[in-house]
Amino acid sequence: MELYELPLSEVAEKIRTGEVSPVEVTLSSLARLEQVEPMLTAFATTTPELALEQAKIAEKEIAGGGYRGPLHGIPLAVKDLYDTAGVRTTSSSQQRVDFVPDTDSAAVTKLYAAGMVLIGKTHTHEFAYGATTPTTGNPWAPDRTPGGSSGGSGAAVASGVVHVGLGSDTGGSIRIPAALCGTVGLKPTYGRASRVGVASLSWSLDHVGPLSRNVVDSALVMAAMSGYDRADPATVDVPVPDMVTGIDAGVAGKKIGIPVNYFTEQVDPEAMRAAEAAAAVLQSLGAELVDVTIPMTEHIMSTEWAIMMPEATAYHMDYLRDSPEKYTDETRTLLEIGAAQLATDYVNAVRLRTLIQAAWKEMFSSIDVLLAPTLAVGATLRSDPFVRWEDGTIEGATPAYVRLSAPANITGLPSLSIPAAFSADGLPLGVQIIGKPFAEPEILQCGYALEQNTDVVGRIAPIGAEAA
Amino acid sequence: MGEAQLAAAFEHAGLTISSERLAAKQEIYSSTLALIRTASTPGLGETVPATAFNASWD
Repeated sequence: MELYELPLSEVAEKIRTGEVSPVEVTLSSLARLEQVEPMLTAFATTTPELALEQAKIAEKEIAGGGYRGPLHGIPLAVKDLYDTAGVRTTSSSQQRVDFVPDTDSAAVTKLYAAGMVLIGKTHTHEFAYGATTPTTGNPWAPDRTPGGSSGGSGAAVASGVVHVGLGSDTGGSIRIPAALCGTVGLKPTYGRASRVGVASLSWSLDHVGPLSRNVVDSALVMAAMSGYDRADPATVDVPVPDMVTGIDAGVAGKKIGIPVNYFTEQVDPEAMRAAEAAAAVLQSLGAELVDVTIPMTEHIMSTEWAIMMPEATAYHMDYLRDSPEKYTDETRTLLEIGAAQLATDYVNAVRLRTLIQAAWKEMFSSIDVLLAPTLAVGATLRSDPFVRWEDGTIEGATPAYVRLSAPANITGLPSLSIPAAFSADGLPLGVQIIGKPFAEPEILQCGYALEQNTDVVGRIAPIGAEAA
Repeated sequence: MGEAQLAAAFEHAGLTISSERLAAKQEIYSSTLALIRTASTPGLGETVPATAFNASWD
């Protein structure tokens, strides 16, 4: 078995004890990258020289007694929205094709401090404005979308190149690729982690977080990248909990909310069955399933788009006026719409957000967490990014995917997506666990319980196996 | 929104949109703006916006 195939926790233990060095781990990651990248195009930029330099430093530190913890010497992929000093950061757009930041984003700074090693920058749907990442293939079926916008990170993790990839999530962009690629993905509570140095899509809805192979990996990385930052006015000055200790506490006695509406409407039967099976597993472990009605569902998508679109356009206004031809037509069109939106529609959406938050707080008074399908459907073909429903409706892939993930962006609640099943045609399906504000440890406990009692979490897509 | 209204909005925003582009994209512009308009729902009353401004200097 190659090092990249081992779970992060096992690799970390081997590094800690000196059984393997971070250099060996990095070489294994780079070898897997070379094997699968031609089929996936998950990376906008790879950084093998920097990775080996960082790994050698880690090796020396650990040999000298300076072990920093379980992320020390572990390979990392970073979405190309995150600034990385001296490394090209394009947001997968011609607008920034030559942009090389002078400083690291806050999250990357924290993960470097934990000792992680940068393998490269992963493709995003251009400026995170979409959920399909057209540049990149899904490791389980390269002609299918890996989802987005953090599709490169999803593909890099699912193919085994790295255990952890960073993502950002404005309408589902961590959880969508996590579900479609069969990885874990954690969108934390709004304000849990700093977005400084990460290209914004919508300041009011953006979150940063990890995609990872196993649940405990996301717990480790999320804790490491969390914390108050005055430079990001959305961050909240609350203590960062240990997200790993107690992750195996189980779910006995927990009240799991099961939606009877919204998350059940226009959902592929296989995706629905996967969520039902996950609920049954938790129930068998002693959790109580409680039916809940999702409130104000008629306002969810209008609120999401009405907040996101003008904020995105405001961020991009200089490019949009001066060099609109450098955007893909899809991104340009969305940005133009934001310029034509009335300010009053924006403010009223932000007011609706207040009401939606209050209604969800009331809904949560009878439950501990909510469990639902992460997405309405599995990965669409890259050449045909549409969903054709049985009633004849045709829905674009991005709106179809965002529909079930956006509620956690509007409410700011933490949401963990974990693999729940594979479809009949072999594509991953995910389930999301949404928690109360700053209850990341609780949703991680639920996710860990599912991981330990099913056999679908932690798999590496067998892409490239035939060439090995 | 009709093409003339959209053209006026884009001109006011300082964007250069050709008439051909406007015609080609009018449906998606209009349908998305119509979805967004539903956020201006009646009865919001005294509801305050969910904003994040922090007046503290710390």
